[in-house]
Amino acid sequence: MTETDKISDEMLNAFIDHELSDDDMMQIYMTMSKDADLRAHVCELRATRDLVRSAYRVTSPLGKTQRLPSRAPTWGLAAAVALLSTGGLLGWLAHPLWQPPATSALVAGVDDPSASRIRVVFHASRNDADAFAQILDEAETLLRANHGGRAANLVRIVANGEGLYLLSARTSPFKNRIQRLNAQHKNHVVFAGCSQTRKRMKRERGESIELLPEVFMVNSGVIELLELQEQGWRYMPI
Amino acid sequence: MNPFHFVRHSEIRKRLSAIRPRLYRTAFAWTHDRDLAEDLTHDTLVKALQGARHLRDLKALDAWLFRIMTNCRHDHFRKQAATDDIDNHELIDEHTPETQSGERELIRMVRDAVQALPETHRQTLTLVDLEGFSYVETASILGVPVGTVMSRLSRARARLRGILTAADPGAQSTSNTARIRRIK
Repeated sequence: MTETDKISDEMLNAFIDHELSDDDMMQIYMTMSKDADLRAHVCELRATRDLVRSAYRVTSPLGKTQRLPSRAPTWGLAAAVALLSTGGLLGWLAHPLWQPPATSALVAGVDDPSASRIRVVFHASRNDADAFAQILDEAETLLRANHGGRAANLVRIVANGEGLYLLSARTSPFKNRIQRLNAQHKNHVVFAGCSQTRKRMKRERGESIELLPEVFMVNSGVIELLELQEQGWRYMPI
Repeated sequence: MNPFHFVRHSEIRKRLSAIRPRLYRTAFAWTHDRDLAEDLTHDTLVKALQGARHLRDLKALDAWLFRIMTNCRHDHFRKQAATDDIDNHELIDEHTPETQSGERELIRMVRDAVQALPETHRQTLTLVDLEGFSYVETASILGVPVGTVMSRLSRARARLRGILTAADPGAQSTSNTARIRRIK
């Protein structure tokens, strides 16, 4: 490669992307040193690449995600919920992370030591009333242990996939219990439904699911799950 | 619990959280539709979590995720293909008060130009330029030969340059100084 005319556009693009061998890179450098037009062309290519990078640098991810309101002052903006849309997904997440617990197992080493509280996100991805009843039992046990102050246990109950029916205003068999739990432990429990699941059900089944008034929507259960676990929340699926 | 598995899954979760903004950014660059970009990001993460146990080499996680997202996009538009073609969509008007600034205007112009590219070119361009994937990785993600990546990228950048130049006559002054010559 000794003449400019032998350098294709593909090669020049590979040059600015550092995809060529050292020998080819050197050849192009040498050619550029003698060819002002070639240098200008490479400069334009780089500018185009940099413009593309700049144009998407400011894209804010998931900016429309609906965050849960902060019910307890200590929750702060971490108030998202967990999880998940398709059932079974948690098969992977759950098992390595969760040993079937006695509730007391939740207490040990779970949380921010300074707050000495337990934060657990329960996940319902299946429309399984018996399993969901157990979730509510576990949640209630944790919530009853609260005696006020900073060391309060916090509970999130998130439904997605088929589990969304458990929070449906029309089909949930737990309307009264959810209402009672929410009223009694208002600052410490949040019920959440996955908006992605709801949209998918609408799109694929033509089914509109109206959720109970106590239920907040989160945009993506999966994403919220990841974030909550990053923040140290314990994950417990059904 | 196998400690190795625990550490591995924790590592994957962290990596997924970290890469989420990048997935969204690329999904947005592909679709220029915020809702759709969120859907694609979400679906990609769901499938990644479902399949993570099969991922043997964590070093391949990034490329693997973008390959999943490429497939998610194919799936999405296959469903809509009968009635809709994303490449026929009018661009979303993203004008906001901020677009009064030159920077915002430039960003809008570049995004419009990227959106005007053929889809295959747009995907190739964004994987290389935004995500920094190598040509080999990009070829693997898109399921095409490396040579195709090179030609798509070359055409995409050339076309992008043409669009931007046409959209911004001021750019001609630069071109006059630095004349672009079609080489070969």
